[in-house]
Amino acid sequence: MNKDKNEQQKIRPHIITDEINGSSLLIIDDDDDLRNLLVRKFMKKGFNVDDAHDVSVAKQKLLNNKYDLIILDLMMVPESGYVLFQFLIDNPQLKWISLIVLSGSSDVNDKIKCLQLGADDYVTKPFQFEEVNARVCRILTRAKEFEQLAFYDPLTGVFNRRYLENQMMIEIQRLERIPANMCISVFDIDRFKLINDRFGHSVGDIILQGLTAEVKKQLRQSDLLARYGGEEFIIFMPNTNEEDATLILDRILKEIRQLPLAKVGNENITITFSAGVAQYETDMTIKEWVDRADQLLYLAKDKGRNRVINWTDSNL
Amino acid sequence: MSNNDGKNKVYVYIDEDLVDLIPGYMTNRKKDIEKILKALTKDDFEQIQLIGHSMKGNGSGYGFDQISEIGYFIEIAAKNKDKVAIEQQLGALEDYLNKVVVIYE
Repeated sequence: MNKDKNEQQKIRPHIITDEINGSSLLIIDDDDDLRNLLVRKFMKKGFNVDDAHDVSVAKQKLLNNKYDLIILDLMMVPESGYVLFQFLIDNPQLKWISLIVLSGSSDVNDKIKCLQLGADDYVTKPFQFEEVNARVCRILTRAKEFEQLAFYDPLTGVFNRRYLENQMMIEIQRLERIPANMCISVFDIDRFKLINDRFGHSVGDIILQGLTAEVKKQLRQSDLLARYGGEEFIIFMPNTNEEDATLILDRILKEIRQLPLAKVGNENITITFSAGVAQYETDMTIKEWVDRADQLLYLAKDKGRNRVINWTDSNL
Repeated sequence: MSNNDGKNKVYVYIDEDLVDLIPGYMTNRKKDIEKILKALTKDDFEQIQLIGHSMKGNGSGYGFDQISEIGYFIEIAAKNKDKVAIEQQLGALEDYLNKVVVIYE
């Protein structure tokens, strides 16, 4: 064993935390030997690893699967790795994926260009695997932290409006390729101001947390719950028609009515909500779609609250 | 990570998880030599540059730092259309492949 070996053993391998363990990587490189090596090494580290030998295969895989990070070679045939940047930027589903360029080019212009195009890091070949792995772990950890800040509501832990609208955009684009029904429901706690006024905002917060926890239990894995404003929430239901969406909301409302969400002294606090259900129609914008559901929500309020109204039954 | 015993062998220490990938990797480098020799007969320096570039990129990842180094010099020589330098590096690569002994750990 020579000196270099001893030096290398002093370096502590990067720890893969639970937060990023199982993250999915896509390795894009036209060198079979290099790809095989990276796949093997990253799998051993606990990642789910997929690979592509050219840009065209990578594009297909990116459209059909979900990845947390891409490792991209630049000098590939027939298409250069540069082609992939614009593809990622143009797609709302893909533009958030972290990307590390792993290239044989040490030209500073390539490095600058890649970082300007959206790469998170640039590593030159030849490389030491542990260095690449450390960079992957750092970027994934940071991305998870940002994701938490950028896409989640801190009080309830459900998704926020930004994430919801991004997902709605993705599904609308998918619908152009694969026609299907999808619905949203906007719902709002009835007389929430009175609860806050009578019991205080801390109790109001407990109710918001209890409500979202209970609604999440009632939803399917494909549904998405987001906080849209103060006490207003949206449930986004892909592959669901208006009738089924209404049934789901009716069932949730029935459960919520009976369930105490907070207790003050000896008093159990229960709530009701009003909801509007709207199915997506071709060429609707996200705003038009949400506005329609909102209109139905206010109709439900006008009709006495504590109910779910859909577009078909509303006579609007 | 390599260690030359000063005579005929070069010892390289490699992660045992790569044991099944190494024979294929070595075979591919021998194929690279054949491809470069063929490309030399056609003055196809672009092809030689690509092969050198790949070799430079993949060698160190496996633990063969010397292959990365030879790949680097082949890439540069091809860029300069320097046949003599390319042939010298091919000789160095052939010599290295004959001497290298992989120790899995």
